[in-house]
Order: sequence, then structure tokens, then C-alpha cells
Amino acid sequence: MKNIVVNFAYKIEGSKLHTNFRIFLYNILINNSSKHKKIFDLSMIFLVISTVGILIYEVKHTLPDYINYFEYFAVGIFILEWIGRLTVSFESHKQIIEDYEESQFLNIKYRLFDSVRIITKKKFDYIFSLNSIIDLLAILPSYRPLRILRIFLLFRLFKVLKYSSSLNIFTRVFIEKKLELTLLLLLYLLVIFFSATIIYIYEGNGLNDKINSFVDAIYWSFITVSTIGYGDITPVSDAGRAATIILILASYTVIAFFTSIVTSSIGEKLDSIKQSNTLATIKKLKKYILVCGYGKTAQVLIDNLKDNNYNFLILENNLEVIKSNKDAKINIIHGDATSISLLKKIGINKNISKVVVLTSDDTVNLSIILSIRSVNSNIPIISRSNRVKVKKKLLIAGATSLIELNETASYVALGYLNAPVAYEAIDDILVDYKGAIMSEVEIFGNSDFINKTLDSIEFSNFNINFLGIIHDNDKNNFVFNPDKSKIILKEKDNLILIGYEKTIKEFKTYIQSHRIIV
Amino acid sequence: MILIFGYSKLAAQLAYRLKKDKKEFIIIEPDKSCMEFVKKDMYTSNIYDYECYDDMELISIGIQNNIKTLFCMHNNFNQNLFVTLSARNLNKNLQIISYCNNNNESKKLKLAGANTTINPYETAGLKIFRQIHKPMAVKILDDILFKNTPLDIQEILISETCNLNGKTLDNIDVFENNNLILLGIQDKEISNKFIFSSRGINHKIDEDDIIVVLGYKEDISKFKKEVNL
Repeated sequence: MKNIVVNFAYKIEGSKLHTNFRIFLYNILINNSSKHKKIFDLSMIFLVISTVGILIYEVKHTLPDYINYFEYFAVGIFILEWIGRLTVSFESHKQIIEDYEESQFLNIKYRLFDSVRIITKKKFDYIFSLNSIIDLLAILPSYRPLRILRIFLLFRLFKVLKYSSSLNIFTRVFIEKKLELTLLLLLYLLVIFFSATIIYIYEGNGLNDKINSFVDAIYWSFITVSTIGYGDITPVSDAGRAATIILILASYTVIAFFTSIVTSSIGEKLDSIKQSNTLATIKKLKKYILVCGYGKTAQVLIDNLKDNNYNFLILENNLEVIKSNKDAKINIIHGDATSISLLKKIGINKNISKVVVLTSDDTVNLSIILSIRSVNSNIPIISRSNRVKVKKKLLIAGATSLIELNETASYVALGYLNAPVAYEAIDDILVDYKGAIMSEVEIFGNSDFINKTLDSIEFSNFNINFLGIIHDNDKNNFVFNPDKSKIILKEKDNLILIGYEKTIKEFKTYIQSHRIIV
Repeated sequence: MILIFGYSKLAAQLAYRLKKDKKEFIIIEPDKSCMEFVKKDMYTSNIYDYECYDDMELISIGIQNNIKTLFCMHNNFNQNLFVTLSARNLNKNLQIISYCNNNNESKKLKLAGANTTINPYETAGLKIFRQIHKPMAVKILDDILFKNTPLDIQEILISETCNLNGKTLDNIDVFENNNLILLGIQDKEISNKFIFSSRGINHKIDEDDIIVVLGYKEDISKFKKEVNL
């Protein structure tokens, strides 16, 4: 028996079918970034809402057969889902293998019972978890003998919440404010009990024909405290009315406290909700630029990135700065960019094309650069340096290029000094200003122009200035205005042009349309 | 002659580069504590400690005739503004380049008479953006403008005696013959705005127009001789 089970466990472990099945389950039930889960969640929401709709319809109508079948179908799916979740929650065969191998290793007798105990415990842990209970409450009332619990079918609606992350936020609020909320609940119950007792003592003796039992008194007390006040039971004696006044005053305080606790708590959570939303959106982007520090320089950079439809994420340590940002298009996260764990969470490895480090403190910049380098050794890092003397250290830390504010500004000043007209014009062409732009046009691998001379490109048909070419094998060498009949084009060569947006676009289309069609 | 008002960090960098380019310049620094840095760095011996509230101080340095360019680089915006305004009143043709920290300051300085304002945060932000957006183009232009490459971008003022005076761009092959690229022209007849030649408009070149050419330095000097400039 033991051997059969262990062998079976190994067989499962080795089975490709089983692994694939598990991956499939994981993708539709748990993996938030999979497409299948989204479709699955949506169809589950549809099932839940339609079955609850049936429940409401059933009150005054008899159901046709096909609706009953639909109900069975839905319940069937719910059951399958629950079983699926139970399966994914813990891998039993792995536990058996692990225990078996451990006993082999320690040279003691393997006891199947131990594994079974652990597996059962883990499975029951899942069955009694909040998620599973919601699922079960949605399934069980469909069983005829439990028809009385039909009302619990409404719990299916909770399943809808389960498929959205908002439920998590609410439960987190309640868990975090547990102490305050419990105290408040106790106070609330005390007030209700207190006033119910008073009214019962004074008016329950037959003075008030509406209050016949203590339950009536509790009901009255509750309706009054909640400020709903139906008025079906009203106090008739002076003592009863005095009790009501005190009760109403107390109820206002309780409600005010309750509201303030919940709202402030949700408010506190709001930032972290925003943050996780930002992280989720940024994770979907294929390529984006990470900007560390959101100061004046970063602002200029961000404005330009935004205008040119670049994706970017800002990391900023100062909450005030983040709060002052009102632009919803700007993805910003509060956090310390020197923290390796945060950088890992963002995922420096995958989608970030460049990192720009822009704090005004060189020591912080250095620390950020090193943190990034410890996560990823290839990514280009552009860093701000605030002193000439620290430049070398930032380069040692791993920055690929450096920007020093005053140095850059002094170059610009020199540019204006030496050639004001030309410099202003050039300054404009580098930012895609409405006028002329300088552009790089790459020759792609499938281009018809490859291995042909440069004069096969008909520059004269376009209103552009051809400045020169950069060959892929010699990126640092700009070949200015070469003899076009002597240059042979290769893949990934870059043509440098100046022209107007429209003419450059025309030229790019011209280059791209000349490709070898396979 | 160039005048630098205020010895900020930016001014120090500028002075360093001006000295490297062998340009002559004067530094005015009103603050005594900053004066120490001026004397320590010693990029020039033409140093004055004027506060510049009195126009006579600027006049005595030669703002009306001797000075062609004024850099207002003081850390205090109001001082920059004051000197910009005074200098503009004293000399209408002076080139004034002022340091500012934000757009509002820039607007005020331009109202006071500055030709150009420089905001280090902005220039740095733009530079990073360009490095991301067009890395090669930026490198080429930076190299041409600031490094000692055989290539150069020059703006050339058309004088009365120049051969090009009165000709239209379509009828000239002197640029091609000299391996030069005409980037554009600032035509006084049309506007003060720079027009790129890639717009494809046929311009008539007149006296006082400024043409901007890109090419090898020797070609540019050859070209200048050829057109009698």
C-alpha cells in the first residue's frame, strides 16, 4: 500500500500532463497577470450575477426547465472551481515525496500516516479559510435538503468581490483597525442594551402597548440608535422620553466615531492603493524609463518625455513632492531608490530601458547607482552630479553618463556667446519643436538599400538636409557629408538628417517602403 | 570683451571655459565672501567688487562701448534683474545672457532686456531628454559645437561686398562645391526667426542676413574667401 502511494506520487511528479494541468489551473485561478484569469474572472462574475438574478425571479415565478439546468451548470462550475482551488492550494504528492526521501536519507522507516496528516491539515486550512468559506456558502444551499439556507446564495455576491481586489482593501482596513472597531462595537451594544433596559423597565410593564417583550425594547433601541427611527414604537412616559434623548445623543457620538475611523483608515490606505495601482500599470509596459528623484530637472525631463509619449516611472522619497503632483498621467511611487528590495520589486531587470538618477545629493546618487548596478549590470544609467569632483566616483559606481547642472549650463552659455542664431536654432531642433528637427533614420535589416551605395537613396526628392552617416560598426565616428557614391550601406547604419517633421516622416516612409519582401 | 556679473558656481564654470577658449573677460562680484573664490580661482585679473547700483560703475568698465556680452550669473535673482535692466538701458546692442531658476524669472529677465536666459535645471533636464530621445544627433551636435572637431557650425553675416549678396539660394552651388551644408538663414526681410533650408523655400540673400553653415573648418574658411567675406 505504502509503496503504491509513493510510486504514484513519483509518477505524478514525472507526468507532463499533470504539470501542464497545474500550470493551467494556476493561470486561470491565481496568476493575476495571465489573460486566462481575466476571462475566467469575468465569466464567473457573470455566472454569479445571473444565478442571483434567478433567485430573485424565483420568488414570484416558477422556473422553466432550462433555467434550472443553467443553475445546475453554474453550481457545477462553482464546485469545479472550488476543487481546483483546493488542488492548487497545496501539492500533496510533493509532500509524500519529500517525506519519503527524507526518511530514506535519515534511514528510518517511512510512515505514510505522517504525510497524510500534514496533507489533511493543509487542506483543511484551506477549506476553512475565508475564501473557501465564501465559495462553499455559495454552493451548499443548492443541495435540496439545505434549501432553507437559500438566502446564503446571496453569498455568491461576495464571490464577485473576491474577483476584484477591492475586497482585500476593505478587509485590510477592518483588520488594521480591529481594536478601535471592537471597542466601538462594545460601546454600541452597551448603549443599545442600556437604553433597551431602561425603556423595558419603565414601559414594558403594560404602560406602552407596543413594548411587550425585551426583544421589542432591543428592536426599538436599535432603530433609534441607528438614527432611522421608524416610529412604530415610541416612548410614552417622561422617563422613557428622557432615556430616548440620552440614547440619541450617544448614538450620534458612536456613529461619528465609526465613520471617522473607517474613513481615516481608508484614507491612509489610499496612498498604498495608488502605489500598487501604479506598480500594476507599470508592470504592463514593455519599455519605460525609471527616473529617481522628482525635482526641477526631473520636471523638465518628464514634461518632454510626456510630450513625446515615452513611458516612465518616477521614484521619489519625499511625500510632499508626490502629493503636490496632480497629473494622473505621471506614474509616481513613493520610495527610497537606494533600497535594493524596492528596485527588485519594480523589476529593474525586465522592462526598464534607461535609468535617470536626479537627486540633488551626490552621496544619494552614488548609493542609488550602486543599488541599481547590484540588480542589473547592463542597464544604462544617466546620473546627475552636483560637483565636478565626485564625477569620477559616480562613474566608478557604474553610471554610464553624467550630467552636471552648471557644466551643462555653462556650455549653453558659451553656445549663445559664440553663435547665438545658430545655437538657438540647434537648441530648438533637438527638442521636437514645431519647426525643424534633427533626426536619426535607421536602415533596418530587411531594407532594399543594404549593400548599395548611398546615392541609391534619392535625397533630392525630399526637402531635407542630409548631414552624414554613422556606421553600426563604428558608432563613435560620424561621417560628415560623404561622397555618396563611395559609401555602402549596411544594416543598422544611421542617417542623420535635418528637416521638418513632415518631410522627415515622408523620408522615413520612403526608406521603410524599400524593403525586400520575403 | 565679456563681462560676468556675480561669481556663482555656474559663473565659475563659465570663466573656466572662457579662459580655456582664450577669451578676455571681466568679473564683477559685489559680495566680499565670494570675492575670495574669484581670487582663489584666478581665471582673470580683471576683477571688480562693484555693487552696480550706480550706472557709473558699469559705464566705467565700458558697458557702452567695450563690452559686447554680459553674463548676469549672480545667485540672487533680483540683483541679476537689476543689472540686466541697467545694462540694457545703457547699451541697446549688448548681448545679455542671464541666469534664472524658473520660467517666471525668465520672463521677468526678458522683460528687463535679457536676450537669453539660462536655467540650469532646464538645460540639464533637456539634455537628459535628448540623450534618451536622439542620442546620436545630440552627440554629433555637442561634439561639433563644443569639442575640438574638424567640423564646425558657423553663422556668417552677409556683408555688402559679399558675392552672395542679392542672389537666391537656388542659383548658388558654392555650398555644395565646398562640401558645406547650409542649415538655414535668418532673413531680416522676413522676420528675425531662423529659417531652416530644409523648408524648401527659395530665399534671396541680402546684406545683414545671417547664414548658418555646417562643414569642415578649412572648407568654411575657403568658402568665406571665395564669396569675399
